[in-house]
Amino acid sequence: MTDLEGMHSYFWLVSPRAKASAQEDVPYTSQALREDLLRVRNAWEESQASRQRDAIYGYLSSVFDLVAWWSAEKCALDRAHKALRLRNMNPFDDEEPFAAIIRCTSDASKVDKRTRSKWSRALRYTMLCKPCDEPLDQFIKRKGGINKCAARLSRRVGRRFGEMCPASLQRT
Amino acid sequence: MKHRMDKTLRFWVDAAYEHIKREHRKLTKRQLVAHVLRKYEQRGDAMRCLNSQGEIVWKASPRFLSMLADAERDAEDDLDDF
Repeated sequence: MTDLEGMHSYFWLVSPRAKASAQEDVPYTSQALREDLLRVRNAWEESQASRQRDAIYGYLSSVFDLVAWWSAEKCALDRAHKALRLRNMNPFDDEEPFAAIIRCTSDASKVDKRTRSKWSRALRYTMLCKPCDEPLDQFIKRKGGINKCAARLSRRVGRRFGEMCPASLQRT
Repeated sequence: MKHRMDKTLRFWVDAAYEHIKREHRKLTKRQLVAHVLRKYEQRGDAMRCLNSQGEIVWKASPRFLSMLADAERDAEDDLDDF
């Protein structure tokens, strides 16, 4: 059993005199968002420092996990745009959450617009199709890799667009 | 909604709850646990994610786990010295 007295008080100490509110839920503050972004940024740096071929999956998993729980709260777009603003970046028109988080946590010199778009499409496909209990890297590899997953999303969206639009619009 | 947590975080949140409960007799355990989680999240020790059922859960952050491992190693070293 862990001996509390023997451990540094940092771990269990929360100021007893700090005013605690009567709220039962935990609001997601800007400071919490900053901490989340810092963790994703750390994952980016680790992926860049690693020599392993699959190191990028660690970073993509961090991006995915963050946007996944935001999506479960139906706040992904607002929070992703807020994340950009916290980094003094302006959201692009229609910039979706994965692309926004990749833009504000990776290095623009290493991740160009095309790569960002490809990763973002692969993550969106993963969000649509991955079972909750399967690790991201396993799922993406099973589906043929990042490029294939990105292409699969494009095909899916294209098909849906085709179903919704008259033939004349599809050609434009 | 219930605050679901992993074992490590649950242990430390309970310890923090025991530490502050006497100062906040009018608040329920749920309210105080929410307060502790908020503090932990803001200092980067706790984070939210989805579990394998797609539910939002809390877990100890990688940084917190690594600090705990360091503290445990220090404690073991101190014990050896003693």
